[in-house]
Amino acid sequence: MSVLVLVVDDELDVGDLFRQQFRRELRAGLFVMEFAYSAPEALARITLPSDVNLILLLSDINMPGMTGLELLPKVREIRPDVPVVMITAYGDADTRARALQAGAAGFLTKPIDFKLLREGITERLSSFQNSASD
Amino acid sequence: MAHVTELAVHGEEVAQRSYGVFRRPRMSLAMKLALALVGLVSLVLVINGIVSMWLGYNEAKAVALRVQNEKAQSAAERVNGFVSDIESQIGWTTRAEWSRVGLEQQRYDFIRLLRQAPAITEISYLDRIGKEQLKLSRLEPDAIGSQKDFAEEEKFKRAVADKVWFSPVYFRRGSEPYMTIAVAHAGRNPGVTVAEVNLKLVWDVISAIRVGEKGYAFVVDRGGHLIAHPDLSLVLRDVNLSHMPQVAQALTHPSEPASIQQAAKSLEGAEVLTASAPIARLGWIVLVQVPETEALAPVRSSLIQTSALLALGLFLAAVVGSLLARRMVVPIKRLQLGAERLGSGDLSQRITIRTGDEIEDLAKRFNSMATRVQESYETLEAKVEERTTDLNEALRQQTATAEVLKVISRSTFHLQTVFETLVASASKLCDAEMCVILLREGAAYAIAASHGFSPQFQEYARAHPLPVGATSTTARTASAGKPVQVIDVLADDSLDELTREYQRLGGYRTNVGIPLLREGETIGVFVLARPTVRPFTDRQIDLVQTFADQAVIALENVRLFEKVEARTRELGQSLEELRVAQDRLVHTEKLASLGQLTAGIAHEIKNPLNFVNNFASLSKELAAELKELIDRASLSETLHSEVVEIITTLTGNLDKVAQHGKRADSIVKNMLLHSREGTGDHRPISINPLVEESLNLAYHGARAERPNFNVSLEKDLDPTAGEVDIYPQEVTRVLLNLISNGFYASAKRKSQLNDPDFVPVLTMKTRNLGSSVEIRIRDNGIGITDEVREKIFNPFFTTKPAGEGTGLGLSISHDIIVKQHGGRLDVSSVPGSYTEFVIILPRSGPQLAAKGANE
Repeated sequence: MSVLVLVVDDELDVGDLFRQQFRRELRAGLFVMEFAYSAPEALARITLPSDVNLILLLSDINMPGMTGLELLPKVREIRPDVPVVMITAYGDADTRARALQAGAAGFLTKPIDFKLLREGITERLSSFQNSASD
Repeated sequence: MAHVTELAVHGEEVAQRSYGVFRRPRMSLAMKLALALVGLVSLVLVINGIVSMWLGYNEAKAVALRVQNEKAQSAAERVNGFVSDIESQIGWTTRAEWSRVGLEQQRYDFIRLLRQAPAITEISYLDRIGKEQLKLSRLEPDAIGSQKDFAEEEKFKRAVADKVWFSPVYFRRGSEPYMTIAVAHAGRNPGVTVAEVNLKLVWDVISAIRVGEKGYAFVVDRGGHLIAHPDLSLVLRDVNLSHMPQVAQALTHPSEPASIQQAAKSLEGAEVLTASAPIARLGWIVLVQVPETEALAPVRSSLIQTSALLALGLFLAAVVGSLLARRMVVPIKRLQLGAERLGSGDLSQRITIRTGDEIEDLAKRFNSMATRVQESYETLEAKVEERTTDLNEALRQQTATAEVLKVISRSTFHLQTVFETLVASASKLCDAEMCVILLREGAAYAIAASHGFSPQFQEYARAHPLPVGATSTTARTASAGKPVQVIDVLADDSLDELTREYQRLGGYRTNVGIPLLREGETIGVFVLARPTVRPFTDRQIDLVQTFADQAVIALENVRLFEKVEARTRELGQSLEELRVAQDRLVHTEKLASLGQLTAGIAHEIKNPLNFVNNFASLSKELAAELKELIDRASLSETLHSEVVEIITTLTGNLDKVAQHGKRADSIVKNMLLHSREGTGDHRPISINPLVEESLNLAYHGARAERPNFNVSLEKDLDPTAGEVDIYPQEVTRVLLNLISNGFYASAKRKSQLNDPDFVPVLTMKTRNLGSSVEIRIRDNGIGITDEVREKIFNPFFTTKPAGEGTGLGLSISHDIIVKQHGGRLDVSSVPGSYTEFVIILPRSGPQLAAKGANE
């Protein structure tokens, strides 16, 4: 049973960028990456019954229509077990505080430090596998 | 006195004008008296005349009527007598036994009757059944036994019934009036004797009646028909006069034997007086009428008489009246003339009147009054002369004062001119040879203006001002605060040396000082002096007081004017400052909106830039992987080396893309920082890179702004400076500000010096101070003065031309360093040499500052 990392961003190129960045992990089948290009799309994806384990949700904040900050509590409600990491170009203190308060597990500013992100995913993956094997 | 007369004449004109509406003719007293007398006399005469005429008229009327009445009465009686006579003549034939006598006898009786009564023209006998038995006529042959039946005729029936019957008058042969008289016989079954009577006799009687010249009588019967009248034609026409008032009245009251008629109109239309008398047996009425004019002739003559008397009376009254009036008025006239002469100023005139009555008394009073007026007039002239002299003097002073005032008002702010005018005028007007104005300067009085003093005196006085405590008149006046006069200066033993020297050089004996007071304080003294001992009068002192007041006013004017000018200057300056501040605000507002725009643009660029950078680094990794794969692949040497060469070039290109992408990213970051957007929180940050980054940014900014700008940058960064907890973007903002100020100052110095060898230098230093870090920014620019340095952190203060600087940069910098970070911002400068700003940032400044703010 594979594990899933869901990325929510209105920029289409984000898919290519992430797939190329994590090409080795994806090739090794460590996890699967899926992309939703709007908040409602993301909600639909996580609501559907699936044979994959969603272990992490990465979401942009600045999106047309429903923003990442609006999406966050809804995801927390449906899947309280899935950590959500917010990504934004606005790295100001206020936004960061609001995101963490709403239950975000992390906060990344653009440009994304992929090294840091890779470490985060690996960590999350291992903890998941530990809990699964237990 | 002439003006008095004028006034009187004028008054009279006014009076006449004001009475103009009623326009009463002016009338002399004599005229009035005469008129009164004439009026009275004529009134009495007129009343008397009217009364006597009224009485005379009534009497004349009564007399006339009486005469007429008598005539009428007698006429009536005569007619009556005539008829009665005929009736009694007929009576012969009416006895009872007469019917039985023989016919011859009867005929005889009738003949006799005809003979005896000439008026009877025809007589007949009707028997008891009305048949004519006998008829005798003077004109016709006798008729005996004609048996004509008259039973149905009136003359028979009425006579039988009434014994006697008178027929209406009728006329025979066109002109002779006749009447039938029928008399019934006595006894039973009587016959009737009928006589036709000629009434000519009655006519004659009536016609014979003459009253006066035009008066006449006439007769009417019961119906008002005219029976007899002097004018026969009227009678023949059977005129009915019952419509005439006098006839109607007589007809309605026939019983009154002789009524007196009022005046009425005659048939001819003239006013007549009418009297009437009735003829009872026949029911006729005799009327006698006389024209009123004739009846009243005596009255008219008496009227003429009375009028003549009245005219005579009036004439006499007028003559006597005017004589009397003249007698009374002449002295009054004389009195009037005398009064007029007195009024016109001839006071020596006396009025002589010897009438021995009140007018003489009045004249005497006038004379005594004139004497008194003459006396007082003479004294008055003297007084007027005296007063005129006074007034002339006052006028001269007023004129001079006015002149002075004019000069003062013309030269309001030329104190010297004003003072010189004042001293010159005062010495002229107060008859003083010398005059001086001294003004207080410190503890002494110095001459401001003088008149009549020698140059030596002036020179000495200028060199030696009078101290406040001196014994001179000036000092005494000043301390007394009121005018002080010294009659003889030499007689005063208490004078000090300086005062004596003043006196010696000035050569005055009598002097007077008037203080110049402003709000109770003596600011100077006005002094008048004379070389001889001759005191100043109170009046002269008063006058100088006026001049002193003018001097104070002039001083005050100048003081106020200067004050106003200074204030105006200040206000003008504030206005200018406000205008500049406004310009700066506008500029700041523009900058703020530009900042927002910049932030927006930066954000929009940032995302695509991230992709560029990310994909560039990814591609580099991929190129490295490709190289590994190529190495492992079994390719020919040449192909391998070509592929490797391309991959190497590609990797180099990708490096360049990443490098330039990072550069663009850095610029965007700085733009965001500068617009105070982006991450607004404090964090520990290395101070040296921040300083370097700021310097670079400022330098490129300046270069971008002015392409020919250049400056030599020197860095002396302490490697141990380490990290400081700050708001990086805020501190960057401060640094950018201070650095660009330094660039501006040094560039300005270069342009001022115009020296190609001068190199603008900006030095940045950092230093580790342990718990804090020091940053120094120094330029070799124009520097700032101490005065400017005091205000340099004030909001909106700038030395740059309007529009170039907001005046907010240093103010905000100060706030950021001191308030936000709890640090210090100091400046030191030597104008024309350098300016150095020193920033000291505590390592944990924001926490401290926040704590301080919370506490």
